[in-house]
Amino acid sequence: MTDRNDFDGSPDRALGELLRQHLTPPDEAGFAARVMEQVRRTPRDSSWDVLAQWTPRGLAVAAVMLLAMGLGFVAATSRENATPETQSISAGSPTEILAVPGPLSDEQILTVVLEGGVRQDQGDRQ
Amino acid sequence: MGYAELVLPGPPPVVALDSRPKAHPHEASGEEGVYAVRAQAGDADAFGHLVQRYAAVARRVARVILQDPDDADDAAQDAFLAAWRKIDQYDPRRPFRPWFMKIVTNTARDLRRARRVRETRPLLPDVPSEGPTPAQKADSSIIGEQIDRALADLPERQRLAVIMFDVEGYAHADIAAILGVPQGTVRSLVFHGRRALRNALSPIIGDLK
Repeated sequence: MTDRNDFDGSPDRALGELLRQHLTPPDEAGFAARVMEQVRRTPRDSSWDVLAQWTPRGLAVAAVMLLAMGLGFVAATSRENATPETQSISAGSPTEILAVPGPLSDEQILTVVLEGGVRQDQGDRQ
Repeated sequence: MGYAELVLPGPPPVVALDSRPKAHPHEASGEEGVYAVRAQAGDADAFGHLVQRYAAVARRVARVILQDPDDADDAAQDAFLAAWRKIDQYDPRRPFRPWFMKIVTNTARDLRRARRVRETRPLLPDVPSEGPTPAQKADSSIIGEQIDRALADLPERQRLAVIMFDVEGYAHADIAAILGVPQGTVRSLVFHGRRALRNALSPIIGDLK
Protein backbone atom coordinates (compact mmCIF):
# COMPACT_ATOMS: atom_id res chain seq x y z
CA MET A 1 0.00 0.00 0.00
CA THR A 2 1.34 3.41 -0.85
CA ASP A 3 1.27 6.16 1.71
CA ARG A 4 -0.15 8.66 -0.75
CA ASN A 5 -3.41 10.49 -0.36
CA ASP A 6 -5.96 9.53 -2.99
CA PHE A 7 -6.96 13.18 -3.25
CA ASP A 8 -3.40 14.12 -4.19
CA GLY A 9 -3.42 16.37 -7.25
CA SER A 10 -0.03 15.26 -8.52
CA PRO A 11 0.71 12.08 -10.48
CA ASP A 12 1.52 8.93 -8.49
CA ARG A 13 4.98 8.07 -9.80
CA ALA A 14 5.10 4.52 -8.40
CA LEU A 15 1.72 3.56 -9.80
CA GLY A 16 2.39 5.41 -13.03
CA GLU A 17 5.74 3.71 -13.59
CA LEU A 18 4.30 0.27 -12.89
CA LEU A 19 1.50 0.81 -15.40
CA ARG A 20 3.86 2.35 -17.93
CA GLN A 21 6.18 -0.67 -17.80
CA HIS A 22 3.27 -3.03 -18.23
CA LEU A 23 1.47 -1.13 -21.00
CA THR A 24 4.41 0.01 -23.11
CA PRO A 25 4.70 -2.36 -26.06
CA PRO A 26 8.03 -3.32 -27.59
CA ASP A 27 9.46 -2.25 -30.94
CA GLU A 28 8.36 1.35 -30.98
CA ALA A 29 10.67 2.19 -33.88
CA GLY A 30 9.25 -0.64 -35.97
CA PHE A 31 5.71 0.46 -35.21
CA ALA A 32 6.46 4.05 -36.20
CA ALA A 33 8.09 2.86 -39.43
CA ARG A 34 5.02 0.76 -40.31
CA VAL A 35 2.74 3.68 -39.64
CA MET A 36 4.81 6.03 -41.80
CA GLU A 37 4.84 3.48 -44.60
CA GLN A 38 1.04 3.53 -44.53
CA VAL A 39 0.92 7.31 -44.20
CA ARG A 40 2.98 7.81 -47.34
CA ARG A 41 0.53 5.63 -49.27
CA THR A 42 -2.58 7.32 -47.85
CA PRO A 43 -3.97 10.39 -49.61
CA ARG A 44 -5.22 13.17 -47.39
CA ASP A 45 -8.84 14.29 -47.39
CA SER A 46 -9.34 17.34 -49.58
CA SER A 47 -11.90 20.04 -48.91
CA TRP A 48 -14.16 18.26 -51.40
CA ASP A 49 -13.91 15.07 -49.34
CA VAL A 50 -15.02 16.97 -46.27
CA LEU A 51 -17.92 18.46 -48.19
CA ALA A 52 -18.73 15.06 -49.64
CA GLN A 53 -19.31 13.74 -46.14
CA TRP A 54 -22.23 16.15 -45.92
CA THR A 55 -23.64 15.33 -49.37
CA PRO A 56 -25.95 12.42 -48.38
CA ARG A 57 -27.51 14.48 -45.59
CA GLY A 58 -27.86 17.51 -47.85
CA LEU A 59 -29.50 15.47 -50.59
CA ALA A 60 -31.90 13.90 -48.11
CA VAL A 61 -32.95 17.30 -46.75
CA ALA A 62 -33.34 18.69 -50.29
CA ALA A 63 -35.47 15.70 -51.30
CA VAL A 64 -37.76 16.14 -48.31
CA MET A 65 -38.12 19.87 -49.01
CA LEU A 66 -38.87 19.27 -52.69
CA LEU A 67 -41.46 16.65 -51.80
CA ALA A 68 -43.14 18.99 -49.31
CA MET A 69 -43.15 21.85 -51.85
CA GLY A 70 -44.55 19.56 -54.54
CA LEU A 71 -47.35 18.32 -52.31
CA GLY A 72 -48.19 21.89 -51.33
CA PHE A 73 -48.28 22.97 -54.97
CA VAL A 74 -50.53 20.07 -55.97
CA ALA A 75 -52.92 20.74 -53.09
CA ALA A 76 -53.11 24.43 -53.93
CA THR A 77 -53.68 23.76 -57.64
CA SER A 78 -56.44 21.23 -57.07
CA ARG A 79 -58.16 23.61 -54.65
CA GLU A 80 -58.11 26.38 -57.27
CA ASN A 81 -59.44 24.12 -60.03
CA ALA A 82 -62.29 22.78 -57.97
CA THR A 83 -65.64 24.52 -58.83
CA PRO A 84 -68.84 24.39 -56.86
CA GLU A 85 -70.44 22.47 -59.72
CA THR A 86 -67.82 19.72 -59.76
CA GLN A 87 -67.98 19.47 -56.01
CA SER A 88 -71.73 19.15 -56.12
CA ILE A 89 -71.55 16.52 -58.85
CA SER A 90 -68.95 14.47 -57.09
CA ALA A 91 -70.24 14.65 -53.59
CA GLY A 92 -73.76 16.00 -53.74
CA SER A 93 -75.13 19.23 -52.31
CA PRO A 94 -74.94 19.94 -48.58
CA THR A 95 -78.63 19.49 -48.20
CA GLU A 96 -78.52 16.08 -49.89
CA ILE A 97 -75.56 15.00 -47.82
CA LEU A 98 -77.07 16.09 -44.55
CA ALA A 99 -80.36 14.43 -45.46
CA VAL A 100 -78.77 11.02 -45.62
CA PRO A 101 -79.22 9.17 -42.30
CA GLY A 102 -76.15 7.80 -40.55
CA PRO A 103 -72.74 9.19 -39.68
CA LEU A 104 -70.91 11.40 -42.20
CA SER A 105 -67.56 10.57 -43.67
CA ASP A 106 -64.65 13.03 -43.53
CA GLU A 107 -65.09 13.78 -47.23
CA GLN A 108 -68.78 14.56 -46.79
CA ILE A 109 -68.10 16.89 -43.88
CA LEU A 110 -65.46 18.70 -45.93
CA THR A 111 -67.85 19.04 -48.86
CA VAL A 112 -70.56 20.50 -46.66
CA VAL A 113 -68.16 23.06 -45.24
CA LEU A 114 -66.65 24.03 -48.61
CA GLU A 115 -69.94 24.04 -50.46
CA GLY A 116 -71.60 26.05 -47.75
CA GLY A 117 -68.71 28.53 -47.87
CA VAL A 118 -68.90 28.89 -51.66
CA ARG A 119 -72.63 29.43 -51.63
CA GLN A 120 -72.31 31.96 -48.87
CA ASP A 121 -69.68 33.81 -50.93
CA GLN A 122 -71.96 33.80 -53.97
CA GLY A 123 -74.81 35.09 -51.81
CA ASP A 124 -72.59 37.85 -50.43
CA ARG A 125 -71.55 38.94 -53.92
CA GLN A 126 -75.17 39.12 -55.11
CA MET B 1 17.48 -4.78 -10.37
CA GLY B 2 13.84 -4.22 -9.39
CA TYR B 3 11.17 -6.85 -9.18
CA ALA B 4 9.32 -5.49 -12.17
CA GLU B 5 12.38 -5.77 -14.35
CA LEU B 6 12.69 -9.45 -13.49
CA VAL B 7 9.12 -10.48 -14.13
CA LEU B 8 7.39 -7.98 -16.37
CA PRO B 9 7.94 -7.97 -20.08
CA GLY B 10 10.43 -5.18 -20.10
CA PRO B 11 10.02 -1.84 -21.79
CA PRO B 12 11.77 -1.38 -25.11
CA PRO B 13 15.41 -0.37 -24.86
CA VAL B 14 14.76 2.53 -27.21
CA VAL B 15 13.59 5.44 -25.11
CA ALA B 16 10.48 6.98 -26.61
CA LEU B 17 10.39 10.73 -26.96
CA ASP B 18 7.24 10.93 -24.89
CA SER B 19 8.62 8.69 -22.17
CA ARG B 20 10.98 11.35 -20.93
CA PRO B 21 10.21 12.77 -17.48
CA LYS B 22 6.77 14.33 -17.44
CA ALA B 23 7.67 17.44 -15.49
CA HIS B 24 6.74 19.70 -18.41
CA PRO B 25 3.89 18.12 -20.30
CA HIS B 26 3.16 21.30 -22.30
CA GLU B 27 6.74 21.96 -23.22
CA ALA B 28 6.54 20.77 -26.80
CA SER B 29 3.09 22.01 -27.75
CA GLY B 30 4.48 24.86 -29.87
CA GLU B 31 6.81 22.52 -31.68
CA GLU B 32 3.95 20.12 -32.32
CA GLY B 33 1.92 22.93 -33.78
CA VAL B 34 4.73 23.68 -36.23
CA TYR B 35 4.93 20.03 -37.27
CA ALA B 36 1.16 19.89 -37.67
CA VAL B 37 1.10 23.00 -39.85
CA ARG B 38 3.85 21.54 -42.02
CA ALA B 39 1.87 18.30 -42.23
CA GLN B 40 -1.15 20.30 -43.34
CA ALA B 41 1.01 21.58 -46.18
CA GLY B 42 1.64 17.97 -47.19
CA ASP B 43 4.96 17.36 -45.39
CA ALA B 44 4.82 13.66 -44.43
CA ASP B 45 8.19 13.90 -42.65
CA ALA B 46 6.77 16.52 -40.31
CA PHE B 47 3.89 14.18 -39.59
CA GLY B 48 6.50 11.51 -38.93
CA HIS B 49 7.81 13.57 -36.01
CA LEU B 50 4.33 13.53 -34.54
CA VAL B 51 4.11 9.78 -35.08
CA GLN B 52 7.39 9.25 -33.21
CA ARG B 53 6.27 11.51 -30.41
CA TYR B 54 2.86 9.91 -29.96
CA ALA B 55 3.44 6.29 -30.95
CA ALA B 56 3.95 4.97 -27.43
CA VAL B 57 1.18 6.91 -25.77
CA ALA B 58 -1.28 6.09 -28.55
CA ARG B 59 -0.53 2.39 -28.18
CA ARG B 60 -0.82 2.52 -24.39
CA VAL B 61 -4.13 4.38 -24.42
CA ALA B 62 -5.53 2.09 -27.12
CA ARG B 63 -4.46 -0.91 -25.08
CA VAL B 64 -6.21 0.44 -22.00
CA ILE B 65 -9.42 0.62 -24.02
CA LEU B 66 -9.07 -2.62 -25.97
CA GLN B 67 -7.11 -4.66 -23.40
CA ASP B 68 -5.28 -6.47 -26.15
CA PRO B 69 -1.83 -5.44 -27.45
CA ASP B 70 -2.43 -6.48 -31.05
CA ASP B 71 -5.80 -4.77 -31.32
CA ALA B 72 -4.26 -1.74 -29.65
CA ASP B 73 -1.56 -1.53 -32.32
CA ASP B 74 -4.21 -1.77 -35.04
CA ALA B 75 -6.22 1.00 -33.42
CA ALA B 76 -3.17 3.22 -32.91
CA GLN B 77 -2.15 2.79 -36.54
CA ASP B 78 -5.69 3.56 -37.73
CA ALA B 79 -5.71 6.63 -35.53
CA PHE B 80 -2.51 7.95 -37.07
CA LEU B 81 -3.87 7.36 -40.56
CA ALA B 82 -7.13 9.11 -39.66
CA ALA B 83 -5.18 12.05 -38.24
CA TRP B 84 -3.14 12.27 -41.43
CA ARG B 85 -6.23 12.18 -43.65
CA LYS B 86 -8.02 14.79 -41.55
CA ILE B 87 -5.04 16.95 -40.68
CA ASP B 88 -6.65 19.89 -42.48
CA GLN B 89 -9.41 19.83 -39.86
CA TYR B 90 -6.89 20.45 -37.06
CA ASP B 91 -6.85 24.06 -35.83
CA PRO B 92 -3.18 25.03 -35.30
CA ARG B 93 -4.20 27.66 -32.73
CA ARG B 94 -5.25 24.85 -30.41
CA PRO B 95 -3.01 22.20 -28.83
CA PHE B 96 -2.42 19.15 -30.99
CA ARG B 97 -2.49 16.56 -28.22
CA PRO B 98 -6.19 16.66 -27.23
CA TRP B 99 -7.19 16.67 -30.89
CA PHE B 100 -5.10 13.62 -31.65
CA MET B 101 -5.84 11.71 -28.45
CA LYS B 102 -9.55 12.13 -29.09
CA ILE B 103 -9.01 10.43 -32.44
CA VAL B 104 -7.12 7.62 -30.68
CA THR B 105 -9.86 7.00 -28.12
CA ASN B 106 -12.62 7.14 -30.73
CA THR B 107 -10.76 4.80 -33.06
CA ALA B 108 -10.09 2.31 -30.28
CA ARG B 109 -13.73 2.41 -29.18
CA ASP B 110 -14.88 1.85 -32.76
CA LEU B 111 -12.57 -1.13 -33.04
CA ARG B 112 -13.83 -2.53 -29.76
CA ARG B 113 -17.42 -2.28 -30.98
CA ALA B 114 -16.46 -4.04 -34.20
CA ARG B 115 -14.64 -6.71 -32.23
CA ARG B 116 -17.70 -7.29 -30.05
CA VAL B 117 -19.84 -7.78 -33.13
CA ARG B 118 -17.28 -10.28 -34.40
CA GLU B 119 -17.24 -12.12 -31.11
CA THR B 120 -21.01 -12.50 -30.99
CA ARG B 121 -21.02 -14.47 -34.23
CA PRO B 122 -21.39 -18.17 -33.37
CA LEU B 123 -18.41 -20.34 -34.21
CA LEU B 124 -18.92 -23.24 -36.57
CA PRO B 125 -18.61 -26.59 -34.76
CA ASP B 126 -15.49 -27.63 -36.67
CA VAL B 127 -13.61 -24.38 -36.05
CA PRO B 128 -10.94 -25.00 -33.43
CA SER B 129 -10.67 -22.42 -30.69
CA GLU B 130 -7.59 -20.25 -30.87
CA GLY B 131 -4.98 -20.49 -28.17
CA PRO B 132 -3.12 -17.58 -26.71
CA THR B 133 -1.05 -15.54 -29.13
CA PRO B 134 2.70 -15.30 -28.65
CA ALA B 135 2.23 -11.81 -27.31
CA GLN B 136 -0.30 -13.07 -24.80
CA LYS B 137 2.04 -15.87 -23.75
CA ALA B 138 4.89 -13.44 -23.28
CA ASP B 139 2.64 -11.19 -21.25
CA SER B 140 1.33 -13.90 -18.97
CA SER B 141 3.49 -13.21 -15.99
CA ILE B 142 1.80 -13.15 -12.64
CA ILE B 143 2.27 -9.45 -12.19
CA GLY B 144 1.13 -8.74 -15.71
CA GLU B 145 -2.02 -10.73 -15.12
CA GLN B 146 -2.65 -8.89 -11.87
CA ILE B 147 -2.29 -5.54 -13.56
CA ASP B 148 -4.51 -6.57 -16.45
CA ARG B 149 -7.14 -7.85 -14.05
CA ALA B 150 -7.01 -4.71 -11.93
CA LEU B 151 -7.37 -2.51 -15.01
CA ALA B 152 -10.15 -4.67 -16.43
CA ASP B 153 -12.12 -4.27 -13.20
CA LEU B 154 -12.23 -0.50 -13.66
CA PRO B 155 -14.78 1.29 -15.81
CA GLU B 156 -13.19 2.44 -19.05
CA ARG B 157 -13.23 6.15 -18.24
CA GLN B 158 -11.52 5.54 -14.89
CA ARG B 159 -8.84 3.50 -16.63
CA LEU B 160 -8.27 6.22 -19.20
CA ALA B 161 -8.23 8.99 -16.62
CA VAL B 162 -5.66 7.22 -14.43
CA ILE B 163 -3.44 6.31 -17.35
CA MET B 164 -3.51 9.80 -18.80
CA PHE B 165 -2.89 11.41 -15.42
CA ASP B 166 -0.45 9.08 -13.66
CA VAL B 167 1.31 7.52 -16.65
CA GLU B 168 1.24 10.23 -19.32
CA GLY B 169 1.29 13.21 -16.97
CA TYR B 170 -1.59 15.01 -18.66
CA ALA B 171 -3.32 17.87 -16.88
CA HIS B 172 -6.93 17.49 -15.76
CA ALA B 173 -7.98 20.06 -18.38
CA ASP B 174 -6.37 18.05 -21.19
CA ILE B 175 -8.00 14.83 -20.03
CA ALA B 176 -11.35 16.59 -19.77
CA ALA B 177 -11.00 17.78 -23.36
CA ILE B 178 -10.07 14.32 -24.59
CA LEU B 179 -12.82 12.48 -22.74
CA GLY B 180 -15.41 15.21 -23.25
CA VAL B 181 -16.27 15.53 -19.55
CA PRO B 182 -15.90 18.38 -17.01
CA GLN B 183 -12.64 18.70 -15.10
CA GLY B 184 -14.38 17.86 -11.85
CA THR B 185 -15.46 14.57 -13.35
CA VAL B 186 -11.88 13.86 -14.35
CA ARG B 187 -10.70 14.46 -10.78
CA SER B 188 -13.37 12.06 -9.54
CA LEU B 189 -12.43 9.45 -12.14
CA VAL B 190 -8.75 9.69 -11.22
CA PHE B 191 -9.55 9.49 -7.54
CA HIS B 192 -11.73 6.40 -7.76
CA GLY B 193 -9.61 4.65 -10.38
CA ARG B 194 -6.38 5.32 -8.56
CA ARG B 195 -7.79 4.11 -5.25
CA ALA B 196 -9.02 0.86 -6.79
CA LEU B 197 -5.71 0.26 -8.54
CA ARG B 198 -3.69 0.99 -5.43
CA ASN B 199 -5.78 -1.46 -3.46
CA ALA B 200 -5.48 -4.16 -6.10
CA LEU B 201 -1.78 -3.63 -6.76
CA SER B 202 -0.58 -2.61 -3.34
CA PRO B 203 1.82 -5.57 -2.86
CA ILE B 204 3.47 -4.92 -6.20
CA ILE B 205 3.72 -1.18 -5.68
CA GLY B 206 5.15 -1.85 -2.23
CA ASP B 207 7.90 -4.03 -3.68
CA LEU B 208 8.80 -1.39 -6.22
CA LYS B 209 9.19 1.35 -3.65
